[in-house]
Amino acid sequence: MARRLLNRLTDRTYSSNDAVNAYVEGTASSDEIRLVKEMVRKNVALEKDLYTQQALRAVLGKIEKIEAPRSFAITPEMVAAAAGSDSWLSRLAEVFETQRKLALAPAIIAVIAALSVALLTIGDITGVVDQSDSSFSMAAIAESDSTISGSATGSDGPTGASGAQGNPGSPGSLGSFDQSAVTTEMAAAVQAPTSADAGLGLSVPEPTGQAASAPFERTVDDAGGTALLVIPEGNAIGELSTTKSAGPDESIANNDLIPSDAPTSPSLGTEFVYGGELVSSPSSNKGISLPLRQLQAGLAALAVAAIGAWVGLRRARGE
Amino acid sequence: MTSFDEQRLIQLTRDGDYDAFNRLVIEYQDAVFAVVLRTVRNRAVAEDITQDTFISAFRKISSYRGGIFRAWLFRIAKNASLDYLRKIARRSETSIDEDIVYFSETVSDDKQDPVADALNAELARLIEHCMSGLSDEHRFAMVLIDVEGYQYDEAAESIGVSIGTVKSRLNRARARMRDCVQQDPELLPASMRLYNKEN
Repeated sequence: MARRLLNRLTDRTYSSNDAVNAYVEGTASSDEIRLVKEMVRKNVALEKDLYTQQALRAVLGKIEKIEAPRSFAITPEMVAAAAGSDSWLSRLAEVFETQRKLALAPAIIAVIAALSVALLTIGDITGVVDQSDSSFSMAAIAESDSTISGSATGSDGPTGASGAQGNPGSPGSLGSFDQSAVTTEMAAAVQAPTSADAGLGLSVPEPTGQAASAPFERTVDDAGGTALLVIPEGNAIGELSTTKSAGPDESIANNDLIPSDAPTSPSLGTEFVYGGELVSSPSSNKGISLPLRQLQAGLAALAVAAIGAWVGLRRARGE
Repeated sequence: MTSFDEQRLIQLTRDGDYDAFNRLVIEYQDAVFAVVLRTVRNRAVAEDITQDTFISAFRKISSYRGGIFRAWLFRIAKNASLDYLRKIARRSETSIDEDIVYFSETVSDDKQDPVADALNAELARLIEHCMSGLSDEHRFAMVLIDVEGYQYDEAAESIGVSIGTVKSRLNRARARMRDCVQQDPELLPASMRLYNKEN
């Protein structure tokens, strides 16, 4: 269609193309000869072009035929060798033999997957997308610039999606604290009150490890409805406590200040206070909740696999 | 070889008969090698590609679904040739100068005139130079139709495009060749030089 339009714009139609070809080859019908002569009348330079093409074709036709330098007869050994040298990629490449453009499919998939990972990461950093499961974004933790030392390694085992590694039987062990363990346990503690039987958020889920056994509690700000978890600076997780506070600097570990009928809706903003700094939990309703980590890992794996398939196919085809 | 024989040999090949297939090889090896050599312009590579073409054809004979068998062979050869050309293009390799020789040596003239022979050799070199400037697809179309003299339908089946596309490619290829050879008008055949003087 586009070509036909282009030909029309350049005053060249399919029939004129055919006529020119036939004229050059000396096989033109009377109608085609008439058409060519008409074209020559309109464009005198065309006559010279046609003559040159005729002469060129005559020269090309005079080139002697090439003969095979040897016999190309095949043997069963040749076929077996060719089949033996075929990798699984070569066999896969044969699938694309008839529709070679399909060979681009893995590359396109890889690009889409990589772009999706990039977008999810950007969304995570900017807060547009949130992790929907129990662990919240590392971005918020990173912003707090808090390196928590504690006894996470003494946990009995992983209790959240972030997979804090437990070390049963060493409850008192101290050492480098895994942030992901903290986030899991904290998030679990924070999310628990949103359930019907959470009891104003004071009921922290039953701890399963040392980190989770910390008696931190949750409180709700009367005015703003903001829940705060306070981690006193330098304290181990076991010393976590919640507070009702007008601000992070006024943190008071006082469970009694929490009204029994305090709102506990899921939309409640949740903040953690650690060492006088406020750390917001992105599990609030600021962005789109998605299984972010799983999506990122899955898409990244898909991108790597697709790139591998694409490169392999190209190699199998000898490119 | 009659069409009937060809179909019978193909059927025998489907049953794994190497002798039957090798009769087809003998029938078509000159044509396949010529097209491959004129496409890749490298004799050693052309031999390898031709051999691979026949091995591949034997293994894929079940995928042959009628039509012109030679065109089916050309199609396998063309894909292998263009794959090779793409590969060397990516590596920025150039084809070798032996390519020029095979064209120079193969322009024939009935007259035993040394001057004419020299001019023919120069003309052949010019043609080789101009053909190497064509795109792979355009060159393949020109080799099949203008050099080897195949019909449009067979060329279209070989390339895997419509006859209209073949005509279009050939048209452009001829126009580019025309522009290229006119850069050295003294090498053109006498009839063309005469035309130039008169016009």
